[in-house]
Amino acid sequence: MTEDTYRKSWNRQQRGLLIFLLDQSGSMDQAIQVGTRTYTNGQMATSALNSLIFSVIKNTPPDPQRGGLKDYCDVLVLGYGDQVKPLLDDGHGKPISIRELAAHPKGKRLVLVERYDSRQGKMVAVKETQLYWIDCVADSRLTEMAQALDQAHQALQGWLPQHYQSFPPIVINITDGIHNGQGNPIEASTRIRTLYTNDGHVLLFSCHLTSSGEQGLIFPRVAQQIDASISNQDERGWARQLFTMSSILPASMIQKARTSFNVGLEDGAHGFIYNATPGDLIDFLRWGTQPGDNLRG
Amino acid sequence: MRDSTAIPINIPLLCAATGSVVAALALYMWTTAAIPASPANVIAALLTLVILLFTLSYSAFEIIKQVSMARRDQHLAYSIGINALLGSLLAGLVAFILANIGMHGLLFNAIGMAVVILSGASLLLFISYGAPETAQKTQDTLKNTDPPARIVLPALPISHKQVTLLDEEAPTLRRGRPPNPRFRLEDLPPLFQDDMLYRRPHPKMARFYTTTKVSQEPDVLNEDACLISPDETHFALCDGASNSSLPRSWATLLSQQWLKEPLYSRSIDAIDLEYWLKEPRMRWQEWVRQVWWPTVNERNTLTGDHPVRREQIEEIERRGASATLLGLLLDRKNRRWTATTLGDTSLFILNRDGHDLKISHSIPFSSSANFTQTPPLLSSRIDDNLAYPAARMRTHRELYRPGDVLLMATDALAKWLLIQVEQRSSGWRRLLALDSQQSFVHFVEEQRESGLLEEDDTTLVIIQL
Repeated sequence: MTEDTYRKSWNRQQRGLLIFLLDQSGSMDQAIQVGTRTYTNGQMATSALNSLIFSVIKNTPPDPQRGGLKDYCDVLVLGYGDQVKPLLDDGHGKPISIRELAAHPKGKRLVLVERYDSRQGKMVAVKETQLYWIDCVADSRLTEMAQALDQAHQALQGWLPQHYQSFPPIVINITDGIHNGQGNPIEASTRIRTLYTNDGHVLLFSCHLTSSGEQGLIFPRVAQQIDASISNQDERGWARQLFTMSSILPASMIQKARTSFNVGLEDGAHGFIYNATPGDLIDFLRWGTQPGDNLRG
Repeated sequence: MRDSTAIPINIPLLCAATGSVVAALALYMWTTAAIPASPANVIAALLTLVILLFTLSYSAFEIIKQVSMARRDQHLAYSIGINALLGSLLAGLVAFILANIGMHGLLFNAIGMAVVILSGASLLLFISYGAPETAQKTQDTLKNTDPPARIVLPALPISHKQVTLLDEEAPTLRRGRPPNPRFRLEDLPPLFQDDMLYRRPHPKMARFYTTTKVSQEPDVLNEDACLISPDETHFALCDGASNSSLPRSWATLLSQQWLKEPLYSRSIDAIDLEYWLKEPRMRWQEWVRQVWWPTVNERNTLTGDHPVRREQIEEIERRGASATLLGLLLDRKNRRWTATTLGDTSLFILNRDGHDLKISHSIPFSSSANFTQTPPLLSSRIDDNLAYPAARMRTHRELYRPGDVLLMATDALAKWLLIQVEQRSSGWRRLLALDSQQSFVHFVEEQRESGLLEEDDTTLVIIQL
């Protein structure tokens, strides 16, 4: 990977693309304990995605000529279980601009959010209204991950021809790793990673959610690190698969990852995190959508 | 507006006309019937006469009013026409009746007859001819050309390009209401080109060049602002932060403040800075609410875009605008310049060395590695903690010699210049040879293509001392 790739920033002429693949199979219904609360993986992932979209929107400056948000990024969310479904309304399966997304949330809802109260000196749960775009669903038997990847591939093929000057699209797969549908996810992921813009290849990152109680793992460089870290045989297999599917972090993003995650990162680390807590997940997602922070200039 | 199949009736006019008819009839009956001329009857007769006159004058007034309304708004012409003719018909009948009570019999008779016939005939014609739309249709089948009239908008500075109306849902004119025209944004001129807060300097001696992040884009999208005083002693260059709200106007306001009241001191504290920013902050907020908001919404009604709501204005103010500052003050008498910097907008000092010019040093940075994504900035937000930027503001003051040159540049070009110096390259001399905006743009595009110049708004001011 050469030094001058992955340098572009998102702007109106060189829009970015974010594709989120969200596992909505029944297995995502597994409960996990976070502090005093119990969530399911599905709830956590959906909530994290909504929060992320909300924060991307909050961080987008206004368009001085048109009002609304600057049109600098497109978003596509595909949910997969028995089938692959686009999860953002009005999308018809095509990426929607962040500007349109901001203008058409699905609704508002009351959300319990943990915020740090400086007076009390601790985290307290407060009720807040938040806009949301995705509903939590976790009800299928199958997990058609390969199909989801293929549909993402199709969407990319449709989007790339007009956007070769942009920072490469980023695909983020949020799953509990248990693929049991048709096709081969590893091959599907390779097909995605061969697509490119002038600024580099499409990036595919994976976030492996689990209630296994295993130790968390962030951006491993080699598969051996997974073997060393995870004892459960099945978990290890799924983790390895996701690890293989994930792109290697580009140099320009490694620095940011180091600061966001406070980890010593080596070159060649993969964009894969395992057993993410909600905080980790949000940090990961935010870091993953980082070209948006390069709006200056 | 009303459907043309129903004949619209003007109630007041109808009442007035009916009133006059009744009064006239009463008078007629009174004069023809053998009613004794007692005082009560005389008073009754007089009263009826008064009512008659009153209602007649009211009818006349109404007809005049409606005619003038019709002249102003052609849509109302049809319905008003009906009313007027109805009124005339009834007035004619009244005159006819009056004639027969023996008041100037022959004259009134004639007038009455004439008015009745004329108005009756016109009324019939109006009704049979129908609404203007129907008339249009018959006209169309005859001519078979363009669809019904498009709305011509008043006094819009339309560009020379063909304006395209895109409203496919309304191929026919809806009765009485113009369809929502939809213009494509690309066909309309960009907003704020003539706004005071988007103005560019036109110095006579110094040279000023600027270009946007992406070539060929209109200057209103450029977030660098620069102002130069007419006597070319005060110069300000401010780089608006892209991820802040509406930075260009803020950058111009900061520049304006420098021209009005340069801020320089060995150490600037938060209080000084707060005082200095008071006016620009107030003016920015005013501009956002009183100029930006209505202008964008007006444009959005033309393009069919969502209007900006109050929540977004509040979000814009909450987020605020930010910009860097490079302020320069020339004291030509004492051959001394003073500059204040905050952020990465840079000043390069070139000394004359015989026939040559050499880059002596630059402020605030001495190395291209100093350029980061997050320089300190001045913000329009009232609650911004000014201790941080105040601590980072630097004032420099130096003497100069005739023949020296100062260059002001925003970050992309400043970084380029420093790299040139670090690599001991002399490519930067091309900047001094630039003599037009065009040659500047050409130079910038070339450097961007070769990857040496970052893609950002790029601005340069060349000052010969």
